[in-house]
Parts: sequence; structure tokens; C-alpha cells
Amino acid sequence: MARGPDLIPIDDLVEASRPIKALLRRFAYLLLIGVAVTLILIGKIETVLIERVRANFSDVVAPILELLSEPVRLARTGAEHVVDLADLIEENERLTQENARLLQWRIFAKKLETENQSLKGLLRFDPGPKARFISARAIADVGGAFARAILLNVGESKGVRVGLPVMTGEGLVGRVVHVGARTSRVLLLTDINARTPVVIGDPPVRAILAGDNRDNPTLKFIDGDVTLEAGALIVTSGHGGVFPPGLPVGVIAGEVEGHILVQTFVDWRNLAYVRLVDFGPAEQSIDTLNQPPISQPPASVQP
Amino acid sequence: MNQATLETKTHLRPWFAFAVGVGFTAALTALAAAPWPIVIVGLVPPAIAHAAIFDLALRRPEAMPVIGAFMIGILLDVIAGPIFGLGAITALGAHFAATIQRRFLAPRGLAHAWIGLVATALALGAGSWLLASLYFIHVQPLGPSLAQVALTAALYPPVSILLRVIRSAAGLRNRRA
Repeated sequence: MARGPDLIPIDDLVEASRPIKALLRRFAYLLLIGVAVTLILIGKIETVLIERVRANFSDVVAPILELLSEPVRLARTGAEHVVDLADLIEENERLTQENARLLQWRIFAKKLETENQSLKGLLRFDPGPKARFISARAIADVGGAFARAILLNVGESKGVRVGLPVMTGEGLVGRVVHVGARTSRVLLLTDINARTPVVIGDPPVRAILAGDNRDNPTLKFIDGDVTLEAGALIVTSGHGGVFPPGLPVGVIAGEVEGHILVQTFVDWRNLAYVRLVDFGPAEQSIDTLNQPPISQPPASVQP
Repeated sequence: MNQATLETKTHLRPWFAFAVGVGFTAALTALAAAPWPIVIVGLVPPAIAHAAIFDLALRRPEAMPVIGAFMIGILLDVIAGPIFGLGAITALGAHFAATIQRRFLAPRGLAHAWIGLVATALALGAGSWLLASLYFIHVQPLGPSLAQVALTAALYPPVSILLRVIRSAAGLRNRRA
């Protein structure tokens, strides 16, 4: 049967590409492994370039990731609802007690607010800009066996910038390390590259919280020869301008093989929603080592 | 259907297989990157992409040529890789492992393929761990790598069955070695 003229170019193309294909097939693994190794080296030297590529790509795939993470979110919410239903009576009792406690706190807070206002008036105190919050959803767990990071569905278009602290209601999660137009990448406190200046307990002892890709980061470079007790509160110190001071991190969990392990306040398995906190320009974060952490009320108001 | 259409279809068939195999594996890779609440073994996601590459390279090589595996590896690196390029190397490793085991495993059932996958996942886990330790100049914890191998092994049978359904729906039958 005669061939149609439209098939000739395809045949020619296939014929012409045959030797090249054979050559590529023979050395395909070697060639591609060579490319991959080159990429590793480029990634090691040109981290900014690689991260820019990643940020741009993340922006492109973000809608897909968001779409795919939706069933995961729904399944998670559904499972939580089932658990909640099972504990309804217990939960109600707990909330009633909590409400009674909070009402007491409200009275204290009102009293303090009035006192605070009058003292500010006396001092002509300028509180500076208020913190701005950006709520975000984790659309991808971009960690793996050798990293701890998440991808958020907010980027430059929502005012996100590199360095912003990321928190949940419980405590500090990490900080924004790369920002795309619509997405941002957050390095978690537990990542092997994460180093967070913190203070422990009262009187405050300086240290560095170091991630090692496990759920419990460790404390390093502890200032002075001090004995740290399990349960001591750990908050950010504000040193180095990485984080503002006083953000709650966790408590000392104990010592294992000479390493002081930290139990973070954040539940790493439940990072569906987070908020980014913009405290304003970094120059405004001052060393307020002796200030109480924002998670804790002043001692004078504790009921 | 005339001869010209048939021949065009024959020419396009490998491309169609490629699009189905690589496209579906890419979708699985993106799905695996979603923040799943994995409470049993920590935060480590399973290497679904490697399982899919292994299975397709074993059962239907046209649907997962070596360049397809490389592309999936790059996708892994861009989405999630802590070391840009490591995902590409491991994806090529999964493809290579399937290729050298194809003659033995392809005519056999899922159980044999699963054993091959476990061996491959262990080798890839060990290789990745070594490379990551060298890259960071810091010995990486072994736990997450082992957890990833275990999760990948556990999820391979459903992934393999799913891929078989997809291949069947797309009219791509298994190739016998």
C-alpha cells in the first residue's frame, strides 16, 4: 500500500535518529549520572541559583500540590473529627474548666491593660509597629530522609520575605529560607542546617538549638558551666537577628548520650496550618535577653 | 482505519507509553510530597517515585525509559531534595536495578518483584545515606533512611497494582523479558 506523503518526514526522522539513539542508549546511564553529579556540585557551589530555580518551579507546581494536598487535608480533618466525637464529653468538661480559668485571666488582663495604658501615657512610650501575621497552609512536605522543610502556599505576593519566623499556636516552627511569587520554603528547627540562638530557663542561659533531622533537636554551645533541668523552658534569644527574642521553642526533654534533647512545642506531624510573623525590619529586634518570652504572662499576673 | 493512521499510531505508541508512565509517576511523586500525617515512623515520606520507576522499568520499559527516570529524579530534587541531584542519581539507580533484574523478575509475579524492590530500596537507601553524609560532612541518622525503605517496601504492592490498572486502562500490556 502506498504511503501518504505526510508519513515520509516521520520515517526520515526516525531513520536519521537511529544511530544517535543507539549511542545515547549505550551511554545513557553514564551520561545522566554525570549530569546528576554535575548538578550536585553546582548545588553545592551555587546554592542561590539552585534555590531560585526551585522557587520558580515551586510556583509553577504549587497549584497542583495544593490540589493534591486537599484530599490529604480532608482525610486528616475527617479523622480528627471522628476522634473528637469519641472524646466529646471529656472535651466538654475540659473546656468548661478552661473557660472558668480563662475568665479569671480576663479580669487580670483587663486590669493589666488599664495599668499598662496609664504607664505608657506617663512614659510617652512608643510601642513601634505591631507584628503582622500571615496565615498559610503547608502544601508539601519537602523534606525527606535528609532534610526537614515544608512548602507554604504564600509567597512574595502576600508580603512574605526571607527570614520571617514561622509559628503555630504552640510555638516556633522554623523560618522562611526561600520565597517565590506564590510559595515559600520553610526550614524547620529540626533540619540539620538549622541553628537557632536560644535562652533556657530563669536565670537565662544562652545556647544554640541545633537540628539533626530528628524530631528532637539538641542544645549546643551552652553558655557557662550550668546544670539544666528537664522541663526548663526554651525560647529564642534574638541574638544574631535570626529570630526575635522570646518566641517559644520547647522544653528540655532530657540527656541522651551526652546530648541535651529538646522537646519542641510544635507537633511536627501536624503542620497543616502555620502563621508567619512579621515583626518589622530586623534592625528593630534588639537584645532583650532579660525580657519575658511572649508565650508567658508576667509572673505578677499568674493566678 | 487506514494504513496511514495505523502507522502513525505505531510511531506514536512509545511516546504515548512514555507520557502515561512518566506523567503518572510525576503525579505520584507530587502526591507523595503532600504533607501526609505519617504518625508511625516519623516525618519521612516513602520513596513512591522509586517504586513506580522500578515497577515501570521492570514491566513496561517503554513507559519508563532512562531519560524518564532522570526527569522524575529532577522533579524529586526540585520539589523536595535536600541535595540537588541526589534524587536524579537514586532514580537512575532504581531504573538500573530494574533493568538488570528484568530478565529474571519480569516473567514472575508481584512477590518476586517485591523482593527485588526491597533489595533495590535498601541499596538506594544506603547509597543516599552515604552520599548525604559525605555532602553534609556529618554522619546522617540511619533511622529516617530505614523508615523510608520500610515505607517504600510496604507501599510497593499497591503502587504496582495501581500502575498495572493504569497500564491496562491505557492499553499498555506488560512486556515479557
